[in-house]
Amino acid sequence: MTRTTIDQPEMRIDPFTYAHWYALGRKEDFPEGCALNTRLLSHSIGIRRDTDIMSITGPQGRALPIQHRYGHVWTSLSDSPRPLFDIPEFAEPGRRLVTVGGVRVRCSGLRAVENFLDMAHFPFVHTDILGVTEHAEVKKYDVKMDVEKDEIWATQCQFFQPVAAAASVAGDMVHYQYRVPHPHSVILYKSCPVDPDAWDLIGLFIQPLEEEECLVHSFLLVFDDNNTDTALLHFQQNIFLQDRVILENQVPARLPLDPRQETPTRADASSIAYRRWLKRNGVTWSTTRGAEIA
Amino acid sequence: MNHTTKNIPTDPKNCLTDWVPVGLTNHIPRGAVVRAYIDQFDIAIWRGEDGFVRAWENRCPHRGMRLSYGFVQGNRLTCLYHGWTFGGDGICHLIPAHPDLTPPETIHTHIYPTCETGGLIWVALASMPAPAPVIKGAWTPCRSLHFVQQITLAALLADSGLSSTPLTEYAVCATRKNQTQAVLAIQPMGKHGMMVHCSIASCDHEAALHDTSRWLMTRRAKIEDTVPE
Repeated sequence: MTRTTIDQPEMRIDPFTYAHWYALGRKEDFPEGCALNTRLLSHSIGIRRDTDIMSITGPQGRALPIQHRYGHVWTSLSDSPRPLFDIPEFAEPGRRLVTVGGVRVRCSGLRAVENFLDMAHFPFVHTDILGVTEHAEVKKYDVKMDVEKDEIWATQCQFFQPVAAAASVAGDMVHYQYRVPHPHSVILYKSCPVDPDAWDLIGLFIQPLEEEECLVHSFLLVFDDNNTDTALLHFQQNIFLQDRVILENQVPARLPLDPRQETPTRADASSIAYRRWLKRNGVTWSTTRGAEIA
Repeated sequence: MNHTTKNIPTDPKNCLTDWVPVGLTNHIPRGAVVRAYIDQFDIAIWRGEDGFVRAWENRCPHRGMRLSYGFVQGNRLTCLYHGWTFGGDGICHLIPAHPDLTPPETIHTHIYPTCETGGLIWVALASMPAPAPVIKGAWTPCRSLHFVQQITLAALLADSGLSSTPLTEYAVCATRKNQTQAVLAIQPMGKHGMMVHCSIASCDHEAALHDTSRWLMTRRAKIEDTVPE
């Protein structure tokens, strides 16, 4: 594996990518007394935990900011990061949080976000779980920008699923909303099998290690009194490992932002909006635009 | 290693005009798809129920998924990711997310010409390749072996005591001391080394296949300075 330490990060990382908070793992991934190294945006960073106090150091031993939210530990290379997006559902009573832990994937983290936004692959990649080939149609859905918060929402999404969640007993049309509040984070709001008026949340907080390698931290925040944490975890891991086969075999590994490089259809409306949003925000890191510039 | 290393063209333009062997004919049965390299080019090779072999750039035009992970149904190849289905001519016929849509013909894979001769499958990366090679006679596929480094055909045969006549830039017909005739062909794979494909003049003797296969392994062992399997 090629690892290059870049001493002048600002030269390579576009300001939008640089300015965000990134999840590094769950607090329990960093036990008391630990001192370990990880990567963030092609930089080595150190994480220490003495008793309950955690500290994170970045390039040249610089202390990096730290916050604990949504079951994860977050940091930023920036001294003045953009505020971390709000997920109000974390404050709702009755929900269970299951954190899955990091899964390393050899692809751009942006490819992983895009795959998460995609319904059309359910029948083929998650066959007989999230989709069946006889019901592969993606009905028209809405994509809009929340200009004030600078985030993307895909709404009115629906898809036929034989086993939509660990709590499902029969196939049904499942309703979805997707939210992209951050270039490397994405949240799915899914109609809840035990309460038709509620949404279950499933999300990815991606730690971009290198431009073509990421660590995907994911979570479920659901209303489900029947399944154990372990059952929910296994469901999510099974799905994500099916996706990993795809993610590690997309060419190029970085996300293309030039619309001529790949051929979308109407079902890819959320992917098109995501790529445009990245482009509009000047994102080059982990995209083919970055490769051209380098 | 005491042989002179390689002088295989790595410039695509060089390589593009020529037909390169990518496997034995029986390596890809009907309904199968495999991945192959020619230099650094990643290629999906598959055989339809009609028996024809197709070679495509290993990349779905939709979202870049390697088509070698797809599956063959009849004379069509379906991408694993979203089920986009392409005919033997590379044109997309079905986008399952939009079952009522007839996809525009502009949606297609990048296809390369193929041929089969001498017991081998050949691919040309050029859009206007030289005429396809024709190796006369009946040949039985024998063995494909991976070499960690690229070497020339001359280096492969050096000091082997075989007489050989060139067939193409990538293949020779060699006659062994026991009079067995073999086609020896090399597939350059860039940093992945190379494959040597071997077929022998068709005969009734099963023993000749085993004997030639062992001979090729011994050659590789000598060239790579390792112990034979």
